[in-house]
This record gives sequence, C-alpha cells and structure tokens, in this order.
Amino acid sequence: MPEPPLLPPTAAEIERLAGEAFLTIPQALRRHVANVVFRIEEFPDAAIQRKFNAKSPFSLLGLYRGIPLSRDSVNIVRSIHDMIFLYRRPLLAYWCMTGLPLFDIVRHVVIHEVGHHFGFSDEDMERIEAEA
Amino acid sequence: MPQTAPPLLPPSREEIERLAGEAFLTIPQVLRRHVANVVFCVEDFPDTEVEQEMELESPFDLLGLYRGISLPRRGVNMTRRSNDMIYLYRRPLIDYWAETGEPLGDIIRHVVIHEIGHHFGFSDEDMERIEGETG
Repeated sequence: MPEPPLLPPTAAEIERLAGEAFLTIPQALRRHVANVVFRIEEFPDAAIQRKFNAKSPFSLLGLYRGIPLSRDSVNIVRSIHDMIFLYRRPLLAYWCMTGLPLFDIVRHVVIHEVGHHFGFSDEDMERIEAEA
Repeated sequence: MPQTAPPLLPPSREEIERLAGEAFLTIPQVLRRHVANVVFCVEDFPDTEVEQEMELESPFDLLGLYRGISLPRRGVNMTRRSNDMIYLYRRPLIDYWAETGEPLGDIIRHVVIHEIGHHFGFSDEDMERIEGETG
C-alpha cells in the first residue's frame, strides 16, 4: 500500500494537541483555567515581536494574554476571555530543531502559558524547572 | 482510525534523503542516466558561506543547491575527481512545507528537479521561464 502523503501539522491539529495537553493538567488546577481560550496563529504579530524583542518571528512559541489569577480581584468583571496563543510555524521549527514529539512540545508550552495564568513569571518558571 | 494522524516526530534527514531518492526515480531514464554521478547531501541549513554567496536574508530562504560543473560547461577531457552534489536543506524545506501545506514529497521532488536542471545547465531564470510557459 502506498504511504499517505506527508502533510504538515495544521492549526487544527495543534489545537487538538493543545486540548489533549490541557487535559493532562490535574483537575484541581485546571478548574481555575476554565475560561482560557486557545488560539493558534502562524506567527506572533509584529507588535508582539517588538514587545518581546524577538530576534526572529520564530523566537516565540506561545503567549498568555489576560489577567493572571494572582492579579485578579473578585470585582473585576471578566468580559473577555484570557487567551493562550500558540504559534504554529515557530512550534514546527522548534519541533524540527529538537526532534521531540510535537505533543511534548505543545504540552510544555501550554503548561508554561497556564503558569502565567497562575501568576508565575518566566523567571519563576525557569527556577522551578531547574529545581525539579 | 478514519484518517492518518500527522506525524508526531519531525521528518529526519534520512526521511528527506529517502524522499529525494524516490523523487529522483520519477525522472525519465533518458535524462537520469546523465545524472548518475550526482550525490545528494541533506543538511539542516545552508552554511554561512552559502548564505553569503546567495545573499540570503534568512537561513530559511534556500531549499536546495546544486554544486558542481554543469554538463554544458564540461570539457571532454576534464577529469572528474569529485562528485557533483545536490544539497537539500531540511529546516527550510520543513518550514516551506509548514507554510504551503503541500505534501513533503512534492516539495522535495520540485527542488530535486530544479537542482538537476542546474546540472543540465539551466539557470534559475531559464527554469522560471519554462515553468511559466507550462503553467
């Protein structure tokens, strides 16, 4: 039987992997992330690249946009969803660079961005990962 | 499962070499026999020398490269000490694959045929024109 054509992982596929990755987070934490929406884009937009001083559009794999729980107060009306952006082309380039399974990469990024939702900074998470 | 899931591991250099080999075999024998001594070499990116030579804005800008003495420039008494080479660049190929959504085998076949066109002495402009006429 001929092999199926090798097609690249689509935005829909990455969204599916992000959903699966999200479900691996323990329920005790996950219930605080109920209103976060995942959004898959090709690249970070120009404004985000400037904000993060990105050397290349491939430098950023994901982004949390919203009010972290730690800065949230009971009387803030959350009229818009918090968002976790995942950038497909940088993710695929990183996948290709590392040779890791795509799911593992997406899961790492999802958990990192959910960490921001809980109020952890990049530095906090680097420290925690180094200690683990 | 109704559908084959996309690969969870990225296409390796070996995989790209295999696809290049398959693509090569789709070239008619009458042409292919003039390419017998061309060697394929899959690298992750063009090296900095090639980047400079080709004036690339980014290392992702070049998918493949022919390096050798093309058939029309070759003299009958030229001793061929080294093989002609066709370089294929894995990371740019995979990013182009991600960008276009085309099957990886089709992309590699296009690049292989383009580089073999250089072996036959066609320039980039020649091939653009030919492709424009057939398109």
